[in-house]
Parts: sequence; C-alpha cells; structure tokens
Amino acid sequence: MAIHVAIETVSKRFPAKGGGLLVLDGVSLEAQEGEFLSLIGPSGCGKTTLLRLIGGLEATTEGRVLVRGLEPREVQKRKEMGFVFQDPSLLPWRTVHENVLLPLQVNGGRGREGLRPAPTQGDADALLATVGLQEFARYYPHQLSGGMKQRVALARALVFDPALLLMDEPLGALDELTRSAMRYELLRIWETSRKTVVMVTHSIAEAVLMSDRVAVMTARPGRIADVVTIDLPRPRREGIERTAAFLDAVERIQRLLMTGGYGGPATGRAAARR
Amino acid sequence: MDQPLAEPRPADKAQPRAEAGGWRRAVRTSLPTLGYLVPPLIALVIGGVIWELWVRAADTPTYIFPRPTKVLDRFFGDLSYFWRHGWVTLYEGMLGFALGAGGAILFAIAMAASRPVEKGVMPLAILVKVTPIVAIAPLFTIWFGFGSFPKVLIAAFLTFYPVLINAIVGFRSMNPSSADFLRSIHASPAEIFFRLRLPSSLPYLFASFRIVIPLALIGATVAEWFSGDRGLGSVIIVAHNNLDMPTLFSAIVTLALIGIGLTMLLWMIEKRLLFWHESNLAR
Repeated sequence: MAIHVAIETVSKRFPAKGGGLLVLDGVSLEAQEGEFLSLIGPSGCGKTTLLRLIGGLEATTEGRVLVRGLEPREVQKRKEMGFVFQDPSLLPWRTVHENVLLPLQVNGGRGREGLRPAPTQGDADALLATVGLQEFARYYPHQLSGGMKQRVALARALVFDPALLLMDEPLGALDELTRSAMRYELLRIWETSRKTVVMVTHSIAEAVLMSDRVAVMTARPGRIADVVTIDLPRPRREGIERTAAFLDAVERIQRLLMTGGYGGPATGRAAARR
Repeated sequence: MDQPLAEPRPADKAQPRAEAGGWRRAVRTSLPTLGYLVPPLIALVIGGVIWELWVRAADTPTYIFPRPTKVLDRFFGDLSYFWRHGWVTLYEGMLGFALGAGGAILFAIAMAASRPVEKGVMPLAILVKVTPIVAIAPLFTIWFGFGSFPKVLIAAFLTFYPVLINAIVGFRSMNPSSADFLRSIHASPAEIFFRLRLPSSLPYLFASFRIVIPLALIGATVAEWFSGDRGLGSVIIVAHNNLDMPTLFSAIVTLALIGIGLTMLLWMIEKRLLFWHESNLAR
C-alpha cells in the first residue's frame, strides 16, 4: 500500500512568553492510502494541531508534512482534502443544499489552476442522499438537529470527492445516543468509498470501532507513544464492542494512555462500557 | 440502514420552510401586529384628550402650549408644507447615515485587516465621537455654506462611531471553524470576507443602525437650526422665534412619524436578512 500522508519528524511551537509553547515534538507518522487512522491522546497533547498541520491550516516549526508528495497548501488548492470540525461550522444563512454547494462556489468552483474538473449540482444532491438528508435540502441549519448538521458538514467536505478526509472530533459535540448511532453511520459512508481518513477523537471506543490503526499520543509536548493496529474484521457492525478482540484493543490503548500521563479510569473494560 | 438518525420535530417535517427568508414572511412578522399597534394608540388618544382638556381648563395661551386639536389642524391643514420640509430633513439625515455608515464600514475593514491602521484611526474616531455636535455645526456653516452639505456632514459624523465600533466587533465575530473550512478549500481572504465575515457582521451592523438612524435625523435637524431655510430644523427655529407653537409641534409630529417609518423599515429589512440569527429565532 502506498503512503498517503507522511508526517516527517514534525515539531510545532506556538509563540508564547518565555520561548514559546512546544506542542508537538518530533512526531513521525504515516497514513496509508485508504486507511482509517485515528489520533488519540490526553487533552492538549497536540492531536488537533497535528491534524491542522496535515490540513495546511498551520505551518510546521520543524519537519514537514507531505500528502501524496505534495505540500498541504497545494493539496488545498487541488481540492484533494475534506475537513470536518467538531463544530459543524455551516453558514447559517444558507440552506443545507447551499452549504453543500459552498465548496463548488469558492474559487469559481475549480482548483485554482483548474487542476480538477468541478463536480456538478447532481453530485451534491447524490451526496445529500448518501448522508440521508435529501429531504432536508431546503432546510436551514437552525432547523436541524446536531447530528444532522454534522452530516451536512460531512457532505460538504466530500463534495469534491477528495481522496483525504480529515476529521477533528466530528462526533464530539453530539449527545451519547446520537453519537453512537453516528459512528456506524460514518463507518457505513466510509466503507462505500474507502477514502483515507485521519480522525482526532477523545473516545477510545470510537477509535477502536472505526480505525484500522490508532496513533496514541503522549501528554504535551505531544509525541507518538505507539501505533496500535486494530485487527477487527470489516464491515464492523453493532455488537462488535462486546467482542474480546475489541476489548483487548481498548485495553491496550488505555494502558498506553496511562503510561503517557493520562489520568483516565483504571481499567479498559470500564472505559469500553461507557 | 439508510434512515435518518435524528428526526426533526414533526412540525418541521410537515412544512419545509423553504421560504424562511421571504419578504412576505418579513412583512408578516415585523409589521407590528394589532397587538403592538393598538395599546400605544389608545395611550396616545387618552394622553391627547387629557392634554386637550387640561389646556382648555387652564386656559393656557396657544403661544405657550397649544391644544392638540390646534396642532392637528395645523398639521393636516398644510400637509404638503411639512412633507416638503420633512423630506429635506429625511434626505439629509439618510444621506449622512449612508455616508457615515459606509465610511465606518470601510474603515472597519481596514482596521480589521491591519493593527497600525486601527491604532491610527481609533483615537481620531473617539475624537469625532466626544466632540459635541453643537460645537461644530456653526463652523460647518461657515465652511460649507447654507445648503444641505453641512447637515449631511453632521449626520454622517454622528453615524460614524457607533457603526465603526460594531463593524469592527462584527468582522471579528465569525465562526472560526467556518473560516478554517473555507481556508481548507483554498478560499482567498477576500472570499472569506464576502462569504463569511460580512454576513456574520450583519447582526452587529443592524444593531448599530438602529441606534444611528434616529441620531442621523437628530443631527440633520440640529444642523438646520444654524443655517438655511429648508428642513424641519429650520421650521422649528422659525416657529420658535414667532411663538408659532402649532407649527413647532407639527414639525415635531412630522419628525416622529419619519422616525417611526424608518425604524419599521429597518426592522423589516433586518427580518429579511437576519432570519437565521438567534435574535430572530427566539420569538
């Protein structure tokens, strides 16, 4: 398998009094083509920063990030990445349909140098159907529930059919019931396209359920403690959380987080049940 | 497996409100319905009757305090006169508002983009704000003559500062994740401004307009006291000098009507443009 995202000894320092705040310290990590990779770690460990570096929203202090051999800014230009944030960040004055069309209107709907042909309205409609919102195309965001808004954000990120999907705690703002249903919804959508995904999450169970590999980070300054391969069969469906393999993976990540300075609950099994 | 996870409330599903931003809805929801209109009208009529009876009973001379019937007589007896002068004040005030608000928004854009510009402009803006308008109105007459221009300028000065402050806050109040998303699809700063910053600032801009439109009318009126023979300000001064109270009160009534009309117009535009904002969703 080819490498899609290569993070090469990346450090990130934010300016602050007394020399700056070192958030990431020599992080190296790779995401394979078509892989679902999760980043997990204690609060403030820099996992969101790492995702923003991949997305070209921040610049590295040292090291570099390459996406299929290109700088992230170049990938933005080619519309080869989709970003989903914890906040759905829809434009409230646009309908669902208009929000999904937004990326097609920016830069006149092309990669700036016309590197990619623009998708059509029909593609946007098909995407809304994929996320189960075709009936709600003409609604405004304030008329939707939190889970529905996040699905609009997902459709918006996918409208250019990017090869890389970056998600920063996409389900973090949802209530527990919606959240667990949305995990399977996300999985289902991902399984139809098999894009490369890098997802930041706080939930061990979520990371294990969805990922091929989980990168566990240490407390600040963030380093990669270990990368855990999740050996669960796909497609993954309801009930998989109760299998021994699932619980083993949860416990392994739990242990890594605790040695990395994470003051979480004592046992992995307790965490998995939450 | 392709079922929506969180169904919307049944009411929403029954009628997709596709026309959420339509003019008709704006008019329907913003025109003060009878419930809003009737109580103040009743209060007004009661107040007018008391005023009438009191002035009659006390036998107060008209040149000190006119009866409402005399005011109404004067007002409706020469509607075109008050409309003509009212139009001048309205036009001066609104031109000043447009000038002041437009300038403030342009300055706010520059200030949001550049710290040095902000540091340079802000003290001047505060200077404009703290200088009493009555202190500069006579000066403007000397410099700019007796026409409309000095009045427009005074209205613009009064408009400038509140709009500037709100525009600066408004341009900074965009959702940071929305900005990040736009950047992630390679939107230019100009595109982020027009697609996100400007619409996000509209609630703040309209809040300032609500303050500033009456101010612009006051500015134009006061400026008319000092020079010229057009506009309700000059009508008021002349009537005052002649102790012609019915005319003076009629000019005040005209000003009040213009103010109410402008406020309602602004309200409707706001409903139309800001249907998505919390302030309009709450009701």
